[in-house]
Amino acid sequence: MKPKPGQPIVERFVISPSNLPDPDTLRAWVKSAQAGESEGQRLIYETFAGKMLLAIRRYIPGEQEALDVLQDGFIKVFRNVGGYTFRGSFEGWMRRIMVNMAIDALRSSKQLQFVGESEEMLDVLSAKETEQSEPEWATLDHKDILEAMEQLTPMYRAVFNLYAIEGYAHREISTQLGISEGTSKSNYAKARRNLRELLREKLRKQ
Amino acid sequence: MSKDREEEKKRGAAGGGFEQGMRSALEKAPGMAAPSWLTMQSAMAGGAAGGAAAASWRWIIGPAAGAALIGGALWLSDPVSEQAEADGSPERVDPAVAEGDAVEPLEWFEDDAAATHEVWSIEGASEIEVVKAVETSIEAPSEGQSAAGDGFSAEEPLADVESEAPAESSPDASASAVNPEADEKSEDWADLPVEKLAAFGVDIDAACVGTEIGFRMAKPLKDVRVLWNFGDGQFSSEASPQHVFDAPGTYDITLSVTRISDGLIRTRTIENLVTIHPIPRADFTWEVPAMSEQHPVIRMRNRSRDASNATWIVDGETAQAGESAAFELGRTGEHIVQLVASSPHGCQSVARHNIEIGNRFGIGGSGRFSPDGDGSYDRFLPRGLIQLEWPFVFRIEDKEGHIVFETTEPRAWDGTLPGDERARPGQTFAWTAVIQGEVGPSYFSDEVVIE
Repeated sequence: MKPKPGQPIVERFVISPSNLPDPDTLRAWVKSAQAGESEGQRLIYETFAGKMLLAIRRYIPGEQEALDVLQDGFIKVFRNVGGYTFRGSFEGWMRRIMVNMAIDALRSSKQLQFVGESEEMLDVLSAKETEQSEPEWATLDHKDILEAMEQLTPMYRAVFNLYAIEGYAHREISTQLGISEGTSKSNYAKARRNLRELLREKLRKQ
Repeated sequence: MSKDREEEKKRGAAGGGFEQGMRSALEKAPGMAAPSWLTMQSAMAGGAAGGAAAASWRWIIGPAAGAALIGGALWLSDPVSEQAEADGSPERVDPAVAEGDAVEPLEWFEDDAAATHEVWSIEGASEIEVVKAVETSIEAPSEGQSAAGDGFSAEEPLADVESEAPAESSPDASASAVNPEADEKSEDWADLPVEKLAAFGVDIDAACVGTEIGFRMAKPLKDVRVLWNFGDGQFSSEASPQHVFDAPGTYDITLSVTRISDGLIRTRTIENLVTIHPIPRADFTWEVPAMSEQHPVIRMRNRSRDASNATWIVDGETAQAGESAAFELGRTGEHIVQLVASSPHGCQSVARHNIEIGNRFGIGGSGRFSPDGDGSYDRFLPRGLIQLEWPFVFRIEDKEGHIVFETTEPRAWDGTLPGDERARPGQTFAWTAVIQGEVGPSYFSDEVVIE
């Protein structure tokens, strides 16, 4: 079981390519993975692992925990890839699995502390935040955003990710997290407020 | 739900450019460095990580090399369907025969197919009865030779063979001239009940994948060609072949005997004759917790599959293996760690890693450094990692086990911590360097103190 001379040395990391495969290529990979072929699985993994890890890390900042979720997530992806019907993007389909796994992991480690529904928070949300000097949010570096998000509580982070980044509706979030829609909204409002403050600070420093 | 969503999206958009900004900034983010496919594959092969296996990734670089060699590509494949594929299903038999290097088996197969209407049917016979019949014919090989004749048909009941009136005997003249001894036998040849004529036995009827199993005819016949169908897509035309089954399962064994003189074929199948048990796949991951103490400790995690129990052998010392185990190694240097995994049926496999373990002295790492920008000892990297021809991972963790620095390049740590912080004097950090060498990984671990 010792690596023989000339055996390819294991690379510890794979950096996903920044440009994605064209739809036909991806389709071929998915078909290959659906046939249970390791080659298709490898291509998919190597292309998307980095992106999926990034998505997971938005929910789970811990490296080891995130990697475990990535591992479980890809096991699930390849076990269920036969059920992917080529409707909608494959990346989106995978991402959904990863996000679900991340939330499951958070839930099973009891990290999701809910801030109860409160009228005050709903007011905050519905209040029009038409600020005169809206900062240039888009100029923020993704690292800054991730860093700021890591400072949120796991619950805020999850709700914010699901709503603002993944584009889930509060109703979906409430089902996903087992909370009420109101709780989802109020958690979102608070997460958003905290995050804005954190990022505003960062922008000031820039 | 989609209506909700649209509404909410509108609301989100109306809320300002904040979400928009977040999204577009994150979209621009490149993916993170993820574990390599081999690492992932080997981790997956160990099953789902689950909550308790948080450490599973950490030093998986060691075993990943081994997994690559033992063909980790089988991960996630369904053993049942593999087995079904390996079984002698018709779709599979044909190409397998056609691909065979010998042309003969193909002819045999065609002969066999052409002659199916003539072949004795023993489908009704249970395994025990058939095996008994084999034994009987071994004990009394000369029995049941009262009748002679060429003709037989599938409609003929077995019991009628002996009482049937002898048909015209037509032994091949040339064959009998060449081999009179065989002629004697061939007179009765066609009339023997198939379970005696094509009787066969097997050395052992249950074994592990990869075990060689011997097959033999109960009564060797001359001037015949034989074809064994092992039920796994493999054939042999030897009289007493040895065969290795590559996949677990139960196999039907078929022996066809063809008399060379006139092409008469007798075929006999014993269903479920051979049972092949799966071999467990021994595999383990290992790590060496950062060591500043005298005695390095190695901690292993059992990643074996299909094993009912396992035993660790570390430098010759054995221990029953649970989910994980830790050994005090007593010295730095090379250590041999083996895991012997056994299945409930007694099939075994062994995973072995030669692991070199060293401390800072083995790789030229200083015990202290002072990242204060004064130009001396501002950076930290064990000297042995500079100009190293093997790939390595060098990693520094703080007391809480958070990784503060990691590199696969000979790049020194300048004391920077995540979040723009800096290591402070008095702080201690644990470092590890795993070097993927030619004969296996080497592992160096120690601590460095900030001055």
